[in-house]
Amino acid sequence: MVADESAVTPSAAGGREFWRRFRRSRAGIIGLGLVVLLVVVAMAAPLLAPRDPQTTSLVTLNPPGTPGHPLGTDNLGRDILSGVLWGSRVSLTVGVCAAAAAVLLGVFIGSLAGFYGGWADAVLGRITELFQVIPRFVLALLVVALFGSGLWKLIAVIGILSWPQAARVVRGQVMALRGAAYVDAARVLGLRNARIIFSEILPNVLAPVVVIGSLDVAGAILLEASLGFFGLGDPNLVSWGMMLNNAQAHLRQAWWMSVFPGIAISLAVLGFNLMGDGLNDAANPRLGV
Amino acid sequence: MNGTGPLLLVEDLHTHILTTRGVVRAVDGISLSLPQGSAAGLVGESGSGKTMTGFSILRLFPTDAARIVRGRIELAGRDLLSLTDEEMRRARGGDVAMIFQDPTTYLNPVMPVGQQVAEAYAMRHGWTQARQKAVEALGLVGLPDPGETYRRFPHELSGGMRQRAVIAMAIVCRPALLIADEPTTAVDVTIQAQILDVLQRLRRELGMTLLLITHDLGIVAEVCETVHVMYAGRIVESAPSEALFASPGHPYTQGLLAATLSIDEARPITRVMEGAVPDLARLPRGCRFHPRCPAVMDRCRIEDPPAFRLGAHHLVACWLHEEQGAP
Amino acid sequence: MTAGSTPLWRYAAGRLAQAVPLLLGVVVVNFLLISLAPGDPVATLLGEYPAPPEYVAQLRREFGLDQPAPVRLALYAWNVARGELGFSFAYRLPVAALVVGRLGNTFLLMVTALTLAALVGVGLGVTAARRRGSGLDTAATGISLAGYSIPDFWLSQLLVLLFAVFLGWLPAQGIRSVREQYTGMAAVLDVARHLILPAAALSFRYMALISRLTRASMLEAMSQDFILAARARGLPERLVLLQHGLRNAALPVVTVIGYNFAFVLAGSALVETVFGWPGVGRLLYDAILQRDTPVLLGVLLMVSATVVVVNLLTDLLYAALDPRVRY
Repeated sequence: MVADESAVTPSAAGGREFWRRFRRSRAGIIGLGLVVLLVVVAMAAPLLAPRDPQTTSLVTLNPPGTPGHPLGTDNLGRDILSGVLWGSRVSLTVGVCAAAAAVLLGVFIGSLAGFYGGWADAVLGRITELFQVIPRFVLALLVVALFGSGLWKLIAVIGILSWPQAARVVRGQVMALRGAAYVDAARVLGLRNARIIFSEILPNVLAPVVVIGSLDVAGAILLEASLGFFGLGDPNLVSWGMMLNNAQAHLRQAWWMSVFPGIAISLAVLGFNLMGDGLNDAANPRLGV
Repeated sequence: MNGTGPLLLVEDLHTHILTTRGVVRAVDGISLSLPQGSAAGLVGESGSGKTMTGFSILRLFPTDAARIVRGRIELAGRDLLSLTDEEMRRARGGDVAMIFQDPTTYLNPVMPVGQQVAEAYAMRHGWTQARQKAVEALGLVGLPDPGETYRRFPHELSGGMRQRAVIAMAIVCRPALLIADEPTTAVDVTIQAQILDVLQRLRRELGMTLLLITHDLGIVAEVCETVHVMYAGRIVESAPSEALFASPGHPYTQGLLAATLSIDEARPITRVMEGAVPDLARLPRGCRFHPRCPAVMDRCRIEDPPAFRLGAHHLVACWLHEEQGAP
Repeated sequence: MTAGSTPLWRYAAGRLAQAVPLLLGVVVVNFLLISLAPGDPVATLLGEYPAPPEYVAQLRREFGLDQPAPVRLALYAWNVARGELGFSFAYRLPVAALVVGRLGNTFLLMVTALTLAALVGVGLGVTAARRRGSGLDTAATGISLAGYSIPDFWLSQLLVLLFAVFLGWLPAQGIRSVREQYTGMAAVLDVARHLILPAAALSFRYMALISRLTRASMLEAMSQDFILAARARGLPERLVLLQHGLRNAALPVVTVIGYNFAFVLAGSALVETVFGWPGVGRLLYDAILQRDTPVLLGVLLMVSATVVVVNLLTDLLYAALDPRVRY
């Protein structure tokens, strides 16, 4: 018998290689930069913002350049710049937490379905199909309208509606790896199924999952903003979506109420999308596409 | 088409490919001539440049990095290398056609087979007659019920049928020259004979000239009157088939013959040739075969041998035959 | 298009059969939402409008609110099948009638947006693939990324700001002018004028997706062997690009377009809100403001059913285009 090198579990030194490839992806670097910017702004919002974003004033509907309000004020005199800066917290929190929940759920269910196959897989398939048929936004609308729109409810709803995609990818990967040589080796050694899943298969599923994760954050931020635009954000917090909702009624008088929060959302989503692209390039190096 | 003179004349053809490792001299100065109606074999291992020779005649390459840098290619007296791109495009399929190795990947999976056959004809003569001509071609290659086969998609046909369809696509416009690149490699041994049969029949019935590119000496023996052996971009031996098989002059040819399994005799492989085809970007000095040659001499390591005449039409590029005289 | 292996209608029947359980699943989801929502299911079914007590009693009976859960589910499903989706007190109309009435406007918007996205997207994608690595390619990729990341509702607002507020070229709201009463051709043109901005906003995201996918798909298709074979037959490049290249590249693009319909529907909700376009999306927004829950539930049901239908149509379209799928 010829010794098969692939019978050895791929090591985590591949991680360094992964990182190196990511650094070479222009999209990935730009994306990472935007994400870092977002995180910094979110964390430093209290320091960066000139005033409390929810404080109303009599300086209503003032254009950018008004003293004390570099980006203008809205119809209730609230400072736009502060709103944009503080809004990053909601977007980032909801985006990352919802995506994390979706990924965790997706990995769990997907690996079970992929590993055991059979009816578990069939059920997963049906559920995924169902989720794909019902527009995510409409369902989210309904759930939030019925159950309330607190921050954690938003995270839960978005997370629960996003797991099928990750599950599908994980299922595919797990199925493919199920028959790999080192899995058989592990079985022969008598490892229990759960252990096999955790230590042998999952580390190799990591790469696509990370990509999905990044893209999920982008999607979650967009979904949260959309819900906010429909007035279904957390009413106690400042969010970009709600700012745009507010801007809708005053579009003719105050373009700055729309433009700046919109730019913020776009940059945040773009950042995570680009980062996801970069991670994808790092995970699947293609020869000069 | 003129009756005198060879149908295909290739003189000192050089085709280079630009790669990151440097210039690969895929075809490094070959010359051959095919009389009208004949069948010639171009034999060699992979990497010998035989397929690139075929592409060069067609002036069509799978990569942008390939270029004909020197030489002459004449088809029925017409200089192919001086044609414009448009003129050459019209010549393809019409005057010279090429069929490739794997019929599965060389057929468009979403288009009916017959339509793919008819296209080349329709482009030149319109669609009214094209369908009929396509059915004719499908029949010529021996496909049963050609009218029905016309409507089928590639995945509905067996491997052998697909290969026949590919041949039909190539001959529908009755080209004078057909270049067949490994037409039997991707099909079963049992189908091989059928495909070769088809090619032979087409030669007889259509008076087509055939250039058969292959690594398989067995099928060359069956089909071809003349054989050219290629190694690392050069033709190292040219001879009529019987002469080549009876008394091969070049050690490479001898090695190939010895390594070929004879189906009739079921003899085990008596000798395997050592080494591998050289990196075409870094060719050895002197005779390019010398690192693998069992009869290598000092001269071989320094000087590249010219072609020496071994018989009436038998040429060998090897220092062993220097005494027999210059060509 | 030939019949091929499995006839198309049989494939369609099979897919139709698979769609039914999906629709049932949607009904179940609706039912779960009603049952699990905080508060009295009756309140959920009524919305927050005061309703006459006789109606409340009727509702209790119809939806079996004093029965065990499985019975309630069955009753609910039966009601849905009958088209009985509840009554909207905000609009004083049965929900079913209300939603169906608005669907037409939404479809007008979506179909226009989809057509625009497909035409521009495919064109952009094919061009980018042809001139890979050029400035045009990078620009196209940039536009794609922007389309992915810019929220449709914000883009809508930007378009309103630019074309309606600053330039005043196009109307910002509604489906037709309120000040004038147009008839005949003028009415059609009026609607068209109002359609431009929302359709453009809605199409942008889709166009980005389509162009990116087409580009990748074209690059993949054009690197296939049968493209080389088509060129070897002397087919003109345009024919090769469209009939052989795009024909194959279009398959994944068509599927993605079709299966992303749900997202476009969602996007439509947002765009309609900004532009005051009287479609299902706007209905959704108003229903949330008015806490008109039966309308929300009804919209979810109808919208999901539409997606199921569109998926089915996409499956059929794909099977019509790619004969390999029908097995």
